[in-house]
Amino acid sequence: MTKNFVQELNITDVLSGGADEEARRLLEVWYANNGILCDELISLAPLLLIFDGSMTTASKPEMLLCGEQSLAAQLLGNEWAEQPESAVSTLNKQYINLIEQGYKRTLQTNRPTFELVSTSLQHSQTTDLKLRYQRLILPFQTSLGAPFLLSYSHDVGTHPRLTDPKPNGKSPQSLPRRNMGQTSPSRLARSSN
Amino acid sequence: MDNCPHYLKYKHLYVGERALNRHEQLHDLLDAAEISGCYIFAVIICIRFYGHSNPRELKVHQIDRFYNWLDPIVSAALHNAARKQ
Repeated sequence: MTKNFVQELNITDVLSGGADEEARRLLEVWYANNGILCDELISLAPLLLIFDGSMTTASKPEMLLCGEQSLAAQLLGNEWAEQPESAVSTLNKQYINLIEQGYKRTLQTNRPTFELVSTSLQHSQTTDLKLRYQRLILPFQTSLGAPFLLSYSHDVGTHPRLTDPKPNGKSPQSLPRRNMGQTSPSRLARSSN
Repeated sequence: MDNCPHYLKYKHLYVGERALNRHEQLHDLLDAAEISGCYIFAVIICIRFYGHSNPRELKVHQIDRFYNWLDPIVSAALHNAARKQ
């Protein structure tokens, strides 16, 4: 049975090797720009989820953009990622209730949040995943003070749930680890400039 | 609407009695994005769907999709900035 939890991690671990390179870069950008949106985020945007930062304790996070190379897009597909206004509502409520607290805490404290998330995610009848990922949530704002949340997630061991056999008869396999011998999207972007 | 700050009028549909064309509406939206400090999202969306970083150069058949993506973000930026003031 999947253990559902969110464990808050020490944000300083991001800068000292406890997260991947993209998380470290993102946090460095946040510190360097005092949380103000800046051009350095453009190359990282494909990896990010962007939320309206005006949500209250009673509201659900409103996703505005889902990066096409984000963990969510990898798991749920580009079709899901290209409908941000309705995407979150298609996920199981248990998952939403578990993960939304991190967004709310980030808004309340106006400080980055770094977490380990372990849960199950169901989406439609074809996606049933046992998730384990690190998540970095950063409170950015515009020059006029309008808040946005930028979220980056890095898979640290997501698996399809070992339940019924898949319709194609194949056994479920672990998702490939992006940073194990593979060039990350941000590295590709930098190398092409 | 006449007493609203300029940037809150970004959804102009007319100049006088002439309806704005799609390019004019695009520039109106992008002006609002610049003023509200969220132009970075316009660039991000333009790169994602059209492979370049200058949304003001979008062709007319590209504007609808781009506009639908950016409009909620600019609305959020303007609305939430106004709440802070």
